[in-house]
Amino acid sequence: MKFEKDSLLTSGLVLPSVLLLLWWTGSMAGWWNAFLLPSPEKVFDSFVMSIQDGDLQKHVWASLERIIKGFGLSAVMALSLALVCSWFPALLVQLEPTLEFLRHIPPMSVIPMLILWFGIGEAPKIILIILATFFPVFMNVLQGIRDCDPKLIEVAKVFGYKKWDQFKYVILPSAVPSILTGLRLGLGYSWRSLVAAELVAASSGLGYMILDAEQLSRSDVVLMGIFVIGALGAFLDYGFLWAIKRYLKRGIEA
Amino acid sequence: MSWLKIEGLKKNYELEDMDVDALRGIDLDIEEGGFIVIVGRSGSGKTTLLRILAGLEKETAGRIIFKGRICGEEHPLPVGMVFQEARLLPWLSVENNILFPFHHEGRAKDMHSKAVSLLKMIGLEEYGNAMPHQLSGGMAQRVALGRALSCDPDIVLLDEPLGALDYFTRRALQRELAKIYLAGGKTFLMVTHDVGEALRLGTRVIVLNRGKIEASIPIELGYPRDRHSDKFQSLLDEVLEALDDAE
Repeated sequence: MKFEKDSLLTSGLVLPSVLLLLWWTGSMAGWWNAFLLPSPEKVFDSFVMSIQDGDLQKHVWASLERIIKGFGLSAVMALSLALVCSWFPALLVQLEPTLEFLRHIPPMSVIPMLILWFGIGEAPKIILIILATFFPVFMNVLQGIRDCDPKLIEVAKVFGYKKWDQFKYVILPSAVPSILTGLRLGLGYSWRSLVAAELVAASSGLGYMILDAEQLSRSDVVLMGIFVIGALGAFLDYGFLWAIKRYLKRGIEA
Repeated sequence: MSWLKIEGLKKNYELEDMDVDALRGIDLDIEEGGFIVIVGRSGSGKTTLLRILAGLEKETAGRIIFKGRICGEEHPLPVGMVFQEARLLPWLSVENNILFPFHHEGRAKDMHSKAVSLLKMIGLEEYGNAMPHQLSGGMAQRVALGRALSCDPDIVLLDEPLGALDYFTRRALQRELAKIYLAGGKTFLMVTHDVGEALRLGTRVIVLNRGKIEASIPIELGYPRDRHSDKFQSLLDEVLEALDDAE
């Protein structure tokens, strides 16, 4: 089958459109209890009202701030540790069992200890995001560096590149697609852990907004919050994907 | 004093408790400006010899003397190398691949005009901004040749550079290699399986057998070479005979 470029069929909007239509039809026809699944109009109205009140912006910014801090710190730590480990393999041998142990602990299971150690401020929320995002970034960076084609390293050796230059001009650039994939995965995980992070005695953020709405039995606000998290996450993910594609297409200009 | 002298070069590998003698004492004098082609059966040590000259492997014994100085890690041979596969860096444009020998010195940015003249030499002047994945096998190999020449090496090492190409591309690149060689000043050391190719390009053909030199045959023919000429045919017979003796 031949698709027209940028047509509705290739844009990936068919399934959401069908689901929206079903949701709208079901709500209009009263196929389900409006409390269990409010109509699209009601959710949209809550969205508009929340924007008019300035509530949504406040919560979005609070969540984004946590994501930026948590994910940013996690990315820097994971990148640095992976780079150091690939430079000093003996260090990785020492760290690997500990990291493997930590990798299998669900971040949410440490919430009680985080509260005990860091209180109920911002720190446990940021740490939770760090725990959720560290390993996808770390593992991908390490794998990207390990997967560098040794034949390309030989080319650098022939032209007199010393070890550090081989790393800087061959190994690292060849690992960039893996690094970007790791960062992209990490960013996705940071959104997923956001609600859990904002369970920890938060007074702002999209996770808090959803939990607060649940307590007030406002399922329309809950749904609106879910949509906002999904839309923001997808938007950031597309941004990352765009950056990866642009990088791979253009290459690195020396 | 020889320009490039290889003395008693040996290379020994350990493969699963087995000792393999890849080179068993190579003695060779290489004249400046020659086009030396090394032929031999698989496993005769051709590539190992080239890899040692390129500094990619360490000899077990023997030494390489260039202009009277012993070569090693401190004083590597001034070489550019083309491998069997183009080995272009996929994230760099064609121009930046050609200038790759200068990236670590931070000089690549000032060498656009050099890249342009090399691109012209290899017939890819319009492809400077192309990416490696957009090139055919023959074009990629030309870029690899441009990269090897860009650092202006005294010696160009060619490890079966045309081995993976189709017949027509191979012939076209053989002609270009001869042209680049004649254009000047470089000594070429090429490994090939193709005896015809060796005869079309070389000023001397070295036949290698089980890590030792079986024969060294000077090729006193001008370029371009007529492969139907009596002289070409008799030299071809001589090389093939040396290869047969090597059995």
